[in-house]
Amino acid sequence: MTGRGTRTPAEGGASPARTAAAGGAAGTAPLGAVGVLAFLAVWELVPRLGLVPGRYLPPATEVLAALAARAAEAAFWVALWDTVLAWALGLAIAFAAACLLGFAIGSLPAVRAFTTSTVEFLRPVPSVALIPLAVLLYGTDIGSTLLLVVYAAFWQIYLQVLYGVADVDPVAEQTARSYRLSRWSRIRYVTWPSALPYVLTGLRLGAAVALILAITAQLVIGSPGLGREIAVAQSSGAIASVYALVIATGGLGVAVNAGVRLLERRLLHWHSSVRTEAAA
Amino acid sequence: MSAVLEVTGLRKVYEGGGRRVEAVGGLDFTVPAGQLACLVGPSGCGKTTLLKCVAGLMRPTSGSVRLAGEPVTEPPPDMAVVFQEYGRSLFAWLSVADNVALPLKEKGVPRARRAELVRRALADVGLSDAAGAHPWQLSGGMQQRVAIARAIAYEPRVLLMDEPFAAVDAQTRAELEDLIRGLWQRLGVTVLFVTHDIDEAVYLGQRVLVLSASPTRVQDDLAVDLPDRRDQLTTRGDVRFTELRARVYARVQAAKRGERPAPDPSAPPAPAPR
Ligand SMILES: Nc1ncnc2c1ncn2[C@@H]1O[C@H](COP(=O)(O)OP(=O)(O)OP(=O)(O)O)[C@@H](O)[C@H]1O
Ligand SMILES: [Mg+2]
Repeated sequence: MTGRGTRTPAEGGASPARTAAAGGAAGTAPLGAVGVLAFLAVWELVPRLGLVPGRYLPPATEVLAALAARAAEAAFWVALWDTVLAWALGLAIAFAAACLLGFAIGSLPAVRAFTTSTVEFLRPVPSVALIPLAVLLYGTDIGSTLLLVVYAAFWQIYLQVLYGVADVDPVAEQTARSYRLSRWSRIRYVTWPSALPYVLTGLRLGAAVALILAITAQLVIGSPGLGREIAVAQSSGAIASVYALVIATGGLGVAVNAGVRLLERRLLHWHSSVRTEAAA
Repeated sequence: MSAVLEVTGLRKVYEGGGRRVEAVGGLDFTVPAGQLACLVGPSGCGKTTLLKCVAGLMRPTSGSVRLAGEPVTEPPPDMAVVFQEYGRSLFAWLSVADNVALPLKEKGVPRARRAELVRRALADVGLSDAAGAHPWQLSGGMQQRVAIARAIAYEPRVLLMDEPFAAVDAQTRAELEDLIRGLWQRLGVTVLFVTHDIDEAVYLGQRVLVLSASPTRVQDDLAVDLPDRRDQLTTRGDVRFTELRARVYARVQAAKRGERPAPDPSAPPAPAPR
């Protein structure tokens, strides 16, 4: 198993190996909680001591109170739902498209070479540069958020799928061929599971980017969601509310990341990065 | 008896990265149906390359492989390969039982029969307890036995094995050798068995093909005229066994020194089938 065991996706920083390390870090939880408390204490003190005017940075307690007040209103939950919906829908579309195209193009080396330069050109285009186009097409509809989210998330996932498809072990592939597995069976039983660690890494990166773009679109374009609520709060001078909403988006980001990591651990229980229980 | 496998003028040249390796330089041999033939040769002489060409996984540069008269251009049905890199050839994401069952499923074997074949194959290699485990939870030798179980459950007519016992301890190895001989006798399967172990080649085979160093040719082709019933103790103690072993040893040494096979008029005739 030597060759397989050490493989991790090329995207080094967020490889599945890191996932396992983070998963096994339960022992550091109390320390993390202390850290959060310390952060809140500093935040509370800085405006109260007058180091920063309270107009710009209300104390933590005020912000948390504003968050609690917001959470009591239905409008907050509607905005949250709009953001989650745009995020999930956009991510799902990007994921499906990236997997289909990635597997199709990744398994045809000639087509892959043919499309590489186009991909290299399109991929770095920042999604926000598409805002005017999105407004032109969809106005302030959810559609404009979706356009940005799909575009940004697609490339993250697509590239990982391509890496994954290229990393199928030739011996596994030959084994499958020698037992006459059909093309479809080889994709289903060999290519897909081999590429899955990469696919999930792509999903995790894509999920984070999708959230960023969902909030950005709502903030800039004014499509419904938490982003728009932030813009509205800001223009009405409700600074504590602005911070409260920012915290809410942060919480969403944490939840998204935790969710994908959980998924990774579930689906990749057989992969070297997640086999911790077996090794113990 | 008809030759089930005919290798004619087989040549394979690897090209790429500015390197040109003539791995196999013109091989000719035939294997009759139901024979157990062992291939020995120095490391890097092209044994794996040969097996991949026979398995239809690789196109030879020239020459041909025929299986039951048909040219091999893609992996033929009724053939199973046990790869040298057994660990990488098992699917880490499937359990041991599912690894063995997958080719059967693809072949369209009904579920009940499939379960029976999987159970029997795992019992044959002594891994009944490991059916639910994942390959990476097993030792190297156990993984190797899973790969063998997968091949025998498939019920092939031709079985290609590439140094299948390289990773197991001596005791398990002896058991697996007897297992392969037992299965071969029971199923009547044609076996092409690659090994670097001369004792093993003589103990297992009805015939030993000694390959030369790259570019590979057949250096020697000798019939193993030991009785069909073999036994780890008595067979290995047999005088004839020792003689054959010495001969193969000398030939492999000659191959390593790069001596080419001399056209030998007194070369032994192709061995009689069982
Ligand atoms: N994919 C490849 N590309 C280029 N050269 C290769 C490739 N595979 C094998 N070779 C070369 O072909 C020759 C024969 O290799 P092969 O793997 O068939 O040897 P082998 O007899 O199986 O050796 P071993 O006993 O060590 O397994 C070697 O010189 C090797 O370097
Ligand atoms: Mg080899």
